[in-house]
Amino acid sequence: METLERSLREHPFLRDLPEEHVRLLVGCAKNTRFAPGDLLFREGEDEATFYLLRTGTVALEVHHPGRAAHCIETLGPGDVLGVSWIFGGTPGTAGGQVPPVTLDARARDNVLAFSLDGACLREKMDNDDRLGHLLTRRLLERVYVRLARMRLTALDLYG
Amino acid sequence: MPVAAPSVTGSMVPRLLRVARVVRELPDTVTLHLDADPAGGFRFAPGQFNMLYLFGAGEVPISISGDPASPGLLVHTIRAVGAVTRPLCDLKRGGTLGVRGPFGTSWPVEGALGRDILFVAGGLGLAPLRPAIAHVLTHRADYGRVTVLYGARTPEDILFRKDLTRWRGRLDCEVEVTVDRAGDGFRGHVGFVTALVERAELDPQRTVAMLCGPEVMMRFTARTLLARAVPPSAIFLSVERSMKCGAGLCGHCQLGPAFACKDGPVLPWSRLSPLLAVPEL
Repeated sequence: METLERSLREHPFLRDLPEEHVRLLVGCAKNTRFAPGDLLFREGEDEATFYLLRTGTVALEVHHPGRAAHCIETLGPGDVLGVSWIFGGTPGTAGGQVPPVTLDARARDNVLAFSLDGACLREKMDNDDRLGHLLTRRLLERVYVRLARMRLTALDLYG
Repeated sequence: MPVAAPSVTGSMVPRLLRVARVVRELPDTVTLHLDADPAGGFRFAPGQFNMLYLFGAGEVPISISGDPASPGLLVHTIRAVGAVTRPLCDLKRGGTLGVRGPFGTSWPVEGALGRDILFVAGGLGLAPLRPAIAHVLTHRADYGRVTVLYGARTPEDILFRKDLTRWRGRLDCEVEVTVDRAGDGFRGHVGFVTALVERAELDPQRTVAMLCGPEVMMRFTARTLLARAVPPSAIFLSVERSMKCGAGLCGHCQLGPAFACKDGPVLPWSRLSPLLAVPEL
């Protein structure tokens, strides 16, 4: 557990988080490996896991019938994966429905990640407002940066 | 009373150079290798540009994309997008064109001795950086970590593919390529080039960053570097504006108080930032 705690603290998403908060997260986390081609999650599933990528590349894909999957974006070491677990247990704004996963996430090569159980994480965040605030803020920052990148991609600047 | 013309950098009279080799890089992009030996060689600094004159069509500013250590060959990479660049791209071996230059400021390869060098290019922006990359790799021992990050539209639009493979194969140079969109079977990175910048290993206080590509891409890349604590004075961009004279006389390329042709094209973010923040410029 001590090793896992130290490793967690080194991930960019959790870097500089107060030690007591990292200790709280250890109970929700484990090391996970994926082989090339493995799916971390699939479109339509309830997203139950939050991944902190350590090594390897994960492709976010949309599948088409009769065609190869279309890659939207690749994520790598230091990135986080999975957001909708945070909405679990609370009514969403769209008719009370929590949004399911909207993409497939597939390992491109050997992927090593911390996987954090979403329900466990949510409970810790609900019970500790400060932890909840810090993680939500960090998550929102990641989402904001990714959204900005997708907007730039949509501009098709290199034409 | 006549007013004396201001002194200018570079010749105002085109030198006639012959095309020694044409390389089709992409369906709309060619590299012209011009034989500069008869003109006594062509010396330039990485990042500078020339005015290329195709007689009967017109004159356009094009960055030099060759190795500054090979002055016998003047190399330009051109995308066919307009009334002058289209016929320039149709030139064949043995054809001639007029060359004025070199003009403008250069990448700070001498001022960055001993530092880590980060090159970030987007699309055709790899061409103006190529001489600087060649220089740094030729003098590899004079620099710290060297990283090349490149973004292209699709895998089919990746420029200088052989160079990228060769640079990556050196083992003393990190090279990462990403594309905005990829079809079936592409195994590389997909996403905007700023994602590579976010993930790159860098020591902000040791890094000198050189960026070239569409201006929007450079603005966001510069901000990503600033967020990683790279100082504004260590981030250099190559700006592009409509140029006519190439020597700071006509004012077409004016960027506030600066002329892109004379004070640029290479300028530090610390100077460019307030200018690029004004949409009217």
